[in-house]
Amino acid sequence: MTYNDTELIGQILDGSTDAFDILMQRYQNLVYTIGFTYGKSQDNAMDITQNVFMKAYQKLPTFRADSSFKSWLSRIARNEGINWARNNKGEVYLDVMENRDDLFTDGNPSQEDELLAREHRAELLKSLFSLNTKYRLAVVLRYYRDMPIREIAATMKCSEGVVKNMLFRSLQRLRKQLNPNRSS
Amino acid sequence: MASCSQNKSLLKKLFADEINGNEKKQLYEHARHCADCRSMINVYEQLKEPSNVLPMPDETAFLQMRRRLIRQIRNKPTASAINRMLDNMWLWFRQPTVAYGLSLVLLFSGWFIGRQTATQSEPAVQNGFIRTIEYSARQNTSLSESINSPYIFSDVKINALDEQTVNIRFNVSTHMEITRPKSDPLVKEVLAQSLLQNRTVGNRLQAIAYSNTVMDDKIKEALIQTMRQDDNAAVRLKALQSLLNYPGDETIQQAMLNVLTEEETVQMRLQALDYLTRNQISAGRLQSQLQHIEGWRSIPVLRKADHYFEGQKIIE
Repeated sequence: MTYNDTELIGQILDGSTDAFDILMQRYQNLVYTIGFTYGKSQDNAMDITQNVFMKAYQKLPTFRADSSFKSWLSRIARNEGINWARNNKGEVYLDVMENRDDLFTDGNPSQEDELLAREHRAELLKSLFSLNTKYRLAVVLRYYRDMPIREIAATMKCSEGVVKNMLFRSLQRLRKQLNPNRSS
Repeated sequence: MASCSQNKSLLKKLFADEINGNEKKQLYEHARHCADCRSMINVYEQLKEPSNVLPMPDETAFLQMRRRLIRQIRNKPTASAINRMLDNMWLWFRQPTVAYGLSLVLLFSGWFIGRQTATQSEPAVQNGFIRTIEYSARQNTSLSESINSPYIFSDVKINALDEQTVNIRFNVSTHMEITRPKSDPLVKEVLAQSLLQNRTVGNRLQAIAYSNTVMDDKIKEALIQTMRQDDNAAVRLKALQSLLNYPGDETIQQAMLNVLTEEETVQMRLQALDYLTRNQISAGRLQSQLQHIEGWRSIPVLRKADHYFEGQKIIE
């Protein structure tokens, strides 16, 4: 049986840790993605994710159902990311390397294509992480998590128009950094 | 140069995925002749590619994180439980007879506590608790007992004061800070738990670095478990390197043999093989373990093992 967020929250407030586990599973990728936006590496993103879920659990009795749980959690994740970045200033380096162990090209064209695609993705990520964090978060939530503009606005505490402007400017800046005529 | 101004609103709609079919057709038609808009659309399409994902950990890492959190939560009363308890207490306190009775009890308690603090200092109270956890640490002789101990140490920070003593700070229902000889069972207990249960990679790495100065069977067991089960490769590697400081024995040898077949990183497999060959493991035992490893990752390991076997033949 699948419970919705409100039902799970009720069970958590009655002391069920299993319900909290389900809720974490449901949103772990979203929180991790926001964590990665600020932490820039898998390890940092996991640390942020863990802190976010702990804070969400502690603050759950204050959650009011007038906003969605997803937006509420995203706002906690964003605040945690901002705090984390502030506390780790100058110690954060972008780590976008994917695991290459499984790819030894040996001249195999399909594997070489895959390697090139990975390089390409890494280049795109590097450009993305050169944007300021507000713009980066808007792009990541929209294109990497497919979050609707309305929810991004709720997460970032701004209007939908501001989010659309941020996306437009982000893509303008990314265009300047990437070679737009690259053959795909 | 800015993007084509006539189509800026259409581009904004496209980027927000709020564009309709006709508008999209109009924009793409325009982009065929406008290099600016075309390049913007190009970036948008790169971002929308399904293969374009952030580096994600595997589900095991998430599972371990969730388990750690649930364990922490179970060790603390929930906020909602406390709120409910306070609500009930407030209703009870509002009854006049209870209120008068309680004020008398509080008055007496204030007098009694004031009298006690005049004779007993705060560290003395804390010492009583430390004695309790020290007793528990002495009772926990194996690693599994430490892991299942009623006292879970978190946010552990370790600071060596000199060759013999160490200052440890940790939370165990309340924050504690004590200084003890390195050989003290409580130091080992806190260290073993911090190797396995620390939430952050940084803290686990720090615990491993410190474990090099405390050689003990429980710590060794915790290092082996970390080397084989931690979700972070850097932590596993550091644990392996830490185990190299221990004199070779059967437990470590078996763990290193397991690394040859279980570990996903080639670097750790090679270091495990180095350890085994340095400690003169029998060629037969090594060979039977090597039969179980497969995939391309096994190639450098098998080559290195071949060198070892050739050397063995020369000696024979």
